[in-house]
Formats: sequence, structure tokens, C-alpha cells
Amino acid sequence: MIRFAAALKRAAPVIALAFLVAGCATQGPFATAEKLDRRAADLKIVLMPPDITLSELTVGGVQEVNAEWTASAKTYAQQALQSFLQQRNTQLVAYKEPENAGAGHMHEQLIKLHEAVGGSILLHQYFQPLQLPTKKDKFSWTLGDEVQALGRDEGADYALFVHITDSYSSPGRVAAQILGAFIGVGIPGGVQVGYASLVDLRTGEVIWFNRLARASGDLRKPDAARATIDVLMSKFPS
Amino acid sequence: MKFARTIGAALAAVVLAAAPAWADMTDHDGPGEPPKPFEDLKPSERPAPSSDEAGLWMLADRAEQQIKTSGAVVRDPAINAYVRGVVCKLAGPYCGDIRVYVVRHADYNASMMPNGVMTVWTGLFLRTTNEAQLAAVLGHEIGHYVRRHAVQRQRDLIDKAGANMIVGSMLGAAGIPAGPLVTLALIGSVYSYSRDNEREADEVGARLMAGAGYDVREAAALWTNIVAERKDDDEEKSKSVFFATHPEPEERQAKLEALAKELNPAEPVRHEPEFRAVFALHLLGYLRDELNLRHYVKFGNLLDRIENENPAPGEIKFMRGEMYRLRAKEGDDKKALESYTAAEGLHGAPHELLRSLGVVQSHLGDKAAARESYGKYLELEPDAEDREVIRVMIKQDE
Repeated sequence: MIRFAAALKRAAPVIALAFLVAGCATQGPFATAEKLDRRAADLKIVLMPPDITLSELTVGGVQEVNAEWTASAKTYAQQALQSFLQQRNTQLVAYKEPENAGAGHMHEQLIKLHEAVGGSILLHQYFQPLQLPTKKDKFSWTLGDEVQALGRDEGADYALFVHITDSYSSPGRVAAQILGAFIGVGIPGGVQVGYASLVDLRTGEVIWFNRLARASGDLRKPDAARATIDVLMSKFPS
Repeated sequence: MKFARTIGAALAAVVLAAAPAWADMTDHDGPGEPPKPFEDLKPSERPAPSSDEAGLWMLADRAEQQIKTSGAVVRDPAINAYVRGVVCKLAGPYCGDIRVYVVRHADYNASMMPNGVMTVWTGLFLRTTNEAQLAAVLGHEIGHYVRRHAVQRQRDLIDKAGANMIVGSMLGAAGIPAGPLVTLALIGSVYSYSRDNEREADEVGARLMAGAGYDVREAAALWTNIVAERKDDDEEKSKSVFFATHPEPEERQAKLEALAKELNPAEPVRHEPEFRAVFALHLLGYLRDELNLRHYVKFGNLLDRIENENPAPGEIKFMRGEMYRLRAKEGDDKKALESYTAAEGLHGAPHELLRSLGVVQSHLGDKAAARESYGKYLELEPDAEDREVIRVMIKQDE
């Protein structure tokens, strides 16, 4: 049961895309503030280890994960995020694993917690039939104030979490799509789904959240990766 | 109807014939050449970053990151050192490549990820009676790793799904809606491939056991235990995915017995006392986990089997009482009472026995006896977390 719930959370972006296509999803992004709190002289956002997976969609529709594409996509995404925020006068630093094992364990738990919360936001905030009565008119999600320790360890005011799953049709799949078009069978290609969220490390609140769900985009190339990040970061508080 | 069935059978034949043909097309290097044998993973080998296997490793590495910090992972140093020790005896040069995570979980299972992450459920330690039987399971899992079954399975699935899609589209274009049928043939075919992997892992495991001096007959004996536990439990048999992806236990048993004849070392070892010494203190906890699943038939069979081998009979009799008390069918309170009474004073009977005894005495109307049992429980466990609840229960029985 637990495993099923975890799988459901993990599949949430895909489910969200299905609902988007089906037309019963609400639109993001969601934000509790338009501006970042700039009381700190040098405001810092820590980019948590980005959860990015690129795979090839085979002829039969199996997603074959590609480690090489994934590694370069992580680099391109991080560079694109860095320049996006630099233009907005905000510094993005990469997450550093603490030397203290206890602190590392705690960070890992927060990453897991965020995954659970992010999955819940996708299911309950974007998909109207599952909307929670207590969150009907407001966007109010938090990881709790234990995130303060993360802020201290990383020397950051906010944490940015990024999850992207991207798939591309294999040459065989493309051939099947063309063939399919001839004989009147629609064969879907790859999709780019994911989400990003910004957490205030003083309060634990999720202050901005956006979902990505589209049938285009390519994280395997730097320019296209920048375009994806621009879409993902839309209405990001400055 | 009959016509539909004939068409169905014909289509199934087409699909089943198509899948291996497709696989043949992709596995061969050229026309007329035999398929390459699938090579073992070498010690400390990592797949090339551009390979399909590297993708699987990447996912497994991430999963390991999550497992590492899971609250379900058993941290007990003695258990970890022991299981790791058995893995190393079996795995030899692969010892350093395999990370073992013992997971607190009822039921028997062990699994292997492509990157060498092995998970073992604690419920397994209730089913294995000695180190050789544990080695049989661990050796089987090492077999999956060395034979790279994860990537083999992914390639098989991709090939078959491709064939499935092509056949399905062609039939669809011809106006024959064959979707479910084609998919059914695909699932069946993938499961059968998975069973072949299991057979191979059994064989590798048996060879590793023999190499480490273990008695290979114990691998077959483990399956005797499993079969005994499934007796009269029809629900379990029909529901479990395990038995769809794995060969039937009877078949594995026969094969392992044959392998034992061929491979067994001159003086095979079982290491039963060593195994017992590590797990004796934990069996009661594992039995509680097992009972929480509420599979009463299986649980009863399990108790029957371990009753004679367990050096702490008080534990087993107490747990049998717990089984009856929780099942709560007609007459079960009485049976529970008998089990608790038999357990009292025996080695291994925990203090909670008195609390449970009080509950069934109260159910059976013997309020005075119930108050006395609760009272004794509080005397022995004055700091028990449920002490306030027990005090209320004593008052209710006045």
C-alpha cells in the first residue's frame, strides 16, 4: 500500500498531464508572494539536488532511462537556472552535502518530505475533483520549521526543488509514428513533465510552485534547456 | 462465441510467434549468426555511461539514496555483520560490489537491484532455519546481479513491447481490435522470461553455495518450508504476483535437489547454531510483524513448523494465543486461553502475555481472574506505555 502511494506520488506529474489534456485541471503557477524577502543583503537560494530523468521512448512505449542524457540535462538545467536568477539579481548556489552524517540524514528526510508534499500539491491543487476542502481558495503548504536547519547548514534563505521527467521518441518510435499516421493510428511521442517549488527556509512554507507539462522541449541541448527553464520558472517571485 | 474463440486463438498464435521472431531480429549480429551469450558482470565493473544498463544503475543509485535513510532499515550491527558475512562468503570477488540492506518487513522476500543493492526482509529469517538456507536466498540474489538480469529483462520487455505494438497496429489497421489480447500475450511472454531468469539465478546460487562449502540440499529444504506454509491457503496462491514471475516451488525444489547431488561439497555445512544465535532475540518481534498481516492460515502453518525447532517455546505458544485472540472466531477466546496458560512460565513468554490473558479472561466472563492478570502485568511492567489503559480496564472489570 505504501509502495502504491509512493508510486502514485511519483507518477503525479504524468497524471497531472493526463488531466490537463482531459481538461479538468486548474492552471498554475501558485505563489503566496510576488516578491522575495530581501532583508538579507545577499539573498541566496540553494538548489536542492535536481531530480531529472531523461529517457528514450521505444517503439513499444517502454521508457528506457538514459544516464548520459540525464547527466548533461542536469548541468544544462543548473546553468539555465543560475542565469535566470542572476538576471533577477538573485544568487543560486548548488546544494552541498554536509560532512556531518546526522545533518545529511536530516536533509535527506526533508528531500523525501518535499517529494511527498510536491506530489500532493500536483494531485490536490491542480486537479479539481481532488481539491481539499481546507485549501479551496488558498495555496497553503509547508514542510514545517525544521527546514531552518537546512538553511543554516547551506547558508541559504530559500530552497529551490526541481523535478523533471523528459522522454524522447527513439528513431524506431518516430518511424512508427509516421507509419501510424499513414494507417490512421495515433502514436504519442515523448513528453516533458515536472514541477519546481520554492521553500522559505525560515518558515518551511512553499511560497511558489509551478508545474511543467508539455509535449515539446529538449533538455539535451543548452538552448532548448534554457527555454524549458523559462517555462518552468514562470511568475517566479523576484 | 465459438467463432470468436477460434479467432482469438489464431491471433494469440500470431502474437506469440511474432514476439520471439522480433527478439531474434534484434539479438543477432548478422544473418545466420547465433546470438551472443550474455556475459557476466565483472567484479567492480560499472556499465559504460552511454549504455542502457547505465540508465538502470542511475535509477537504482537514486533508490539506494532513499533506502539508506529509511526508518525501516535494520541498524542492528550483529544482524548486519552476519548477513554481510554470508554474502561475502558466497560472492567472493563481488563482495565489495554488493550493499546489503536488511529491511524490517513481514513476509519472505529478498531483492537485487542492478547496481548491487540487495534488500532482505526480516520475515525471511522466520523461514530459513540455518545459515545454508539463508545462503541459498542470498546466493540466488547474487546470481541476478552477476547475470545482469535487470538489463536482460528491460531489453526483453522493449523487444516484446515493440513486437506487440507492431502486431497490434497492423491488426488494428486491418480492422481487428486485438488490443487486450495482444497485451495479454505480452504479459505472459514477459513473465515466462522472468521465470527463466529465476531458474538461472537458482543455479548460480547453488554453485556459489557449493563453492562456499554450504549444503546445497538446504536450498531445496527451504522450499519445503515455503510449501508447508502455503498449505490450505488458497487465497495466497491465487493472489501473489510472486508465483506468476517465479517458477512453481515444487519445480525449483526438484531442480535444486538435482543440483545438490551434482555439486555438494564433501563435507557440507549448515551452520544452524550460528544462525540461531544471531536471530533468537528477534524472532518474537518478527512473529508480531507477521501476525499484523492477519494471514491466519499462513501464520498458523508457520507456527506449526517452527514450534519444534524454536528453543523458546513460550514465544510460540504466546503467539499462537495472540493469533486466536485476534482472529476472534467462535471458540477462539477459549483456544487463546489454553495457549496462554500453556505458555505461562515457559522460556520466552513475554510479560504482555498477562495483559492478553486478562483480555480473554474478561471476554470469557472471569472478571476476577482478568483483574489479577492485569495486576500482575502492571507489577512486572510498572512503566508500561499502556499502564493507564490497563488501570481503566481493571476498573471496568470490577
